[in-house]
Amino acid sequence: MDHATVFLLLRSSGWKEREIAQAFATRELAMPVPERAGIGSARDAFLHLLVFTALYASAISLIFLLFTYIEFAFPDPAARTSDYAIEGALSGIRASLATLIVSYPLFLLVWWFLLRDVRTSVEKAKSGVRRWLSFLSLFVGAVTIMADVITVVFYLVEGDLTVRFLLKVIALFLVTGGLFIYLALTLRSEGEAGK
Amino acid sequence: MSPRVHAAFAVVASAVVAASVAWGFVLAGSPATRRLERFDEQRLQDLQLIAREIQWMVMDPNKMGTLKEALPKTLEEAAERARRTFIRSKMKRLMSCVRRSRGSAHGTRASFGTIPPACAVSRSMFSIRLRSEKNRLAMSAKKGDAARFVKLSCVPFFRTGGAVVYWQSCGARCSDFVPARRAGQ
Repeated sequence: MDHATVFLLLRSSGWKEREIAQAFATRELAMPVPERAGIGSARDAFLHLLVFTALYASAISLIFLLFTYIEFAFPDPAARTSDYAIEGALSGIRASLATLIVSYPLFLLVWWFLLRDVRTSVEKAKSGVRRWLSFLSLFVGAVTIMADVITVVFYLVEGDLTVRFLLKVIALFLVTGGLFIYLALTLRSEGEAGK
Repeated sequence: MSPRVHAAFAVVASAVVAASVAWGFVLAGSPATRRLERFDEQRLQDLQLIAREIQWMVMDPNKMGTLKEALPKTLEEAAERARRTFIRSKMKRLMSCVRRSRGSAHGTRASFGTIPPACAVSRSMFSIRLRSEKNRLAMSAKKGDAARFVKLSCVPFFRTGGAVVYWQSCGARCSDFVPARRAGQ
């Protein structure tokens, strides 16, 4: 019996075209049909949303922690530090620690899983959700760096540059810059591998 | 990018995160230390409360710096004295209100400036009384008092010489005071 007849019979008994094609491919082809580039499954979307949420949570907590450490190391002589303010800062540190302890390992784990996925099937690097979220993160990183530099220049011309402020700017620049470079390099290498 | 580069990024980022977390614990203290601090804070609050209560009990508010009675020797003695003082002062205030209210335009109305926390009555009991009270108060010359009375959230009561007296205790402004003989009418 030829394929066309089998196809007709399966269609008449309620099979969908996609299911018939999959059945033929499993039976007849030696290798699986590669997924179309740019199409992400719900699982991909879930994993990417999870990993980028964890990434943002980790980055924000890390920046907050670094800022608080700088504030502790270089207290502002113009501001009176009350016990309530110190207790509030310590409470903020605990909240950031909790966020970081949970979100950073989660990010590492899921990101490693996704990288392994991309290495095994290169088409997944072109998944829409992956590219959109990666470029969105690049955009956020770029805007943060731009705002960082603008603030430095503004404070410079205002004559308000203090060690405390400069250290905060450097901390923000290092975290966002590091993430930006890493994501940009990852996207570029995946783009080259996909060609 | 090769897996080695990814690993290098991961190692550097993990080192930064680990250092931040460690320094965070150094600054904010370990969970066990924090737990002990919370116990200390609670103890401090308790001690402050006890000190305030004893001060209120033994200090004469009209003559600052003089004691109206001796300081209690033990906490049990302080607690016993606080209980007696509380009831005595409430009764005194109540009776003075009853005396002041006699012969006023509203018969039995008076003002209370304090809240009696120890004599809360069940809400169901209150709501029955309130319903019967509502009509009477609506006819009162002071309608503002009636509205305030109806809005009560908690009404404690006292039994004094056969007359049940209850008043509002919903905030700093405690006003209406009505003997039950009138309320039941």
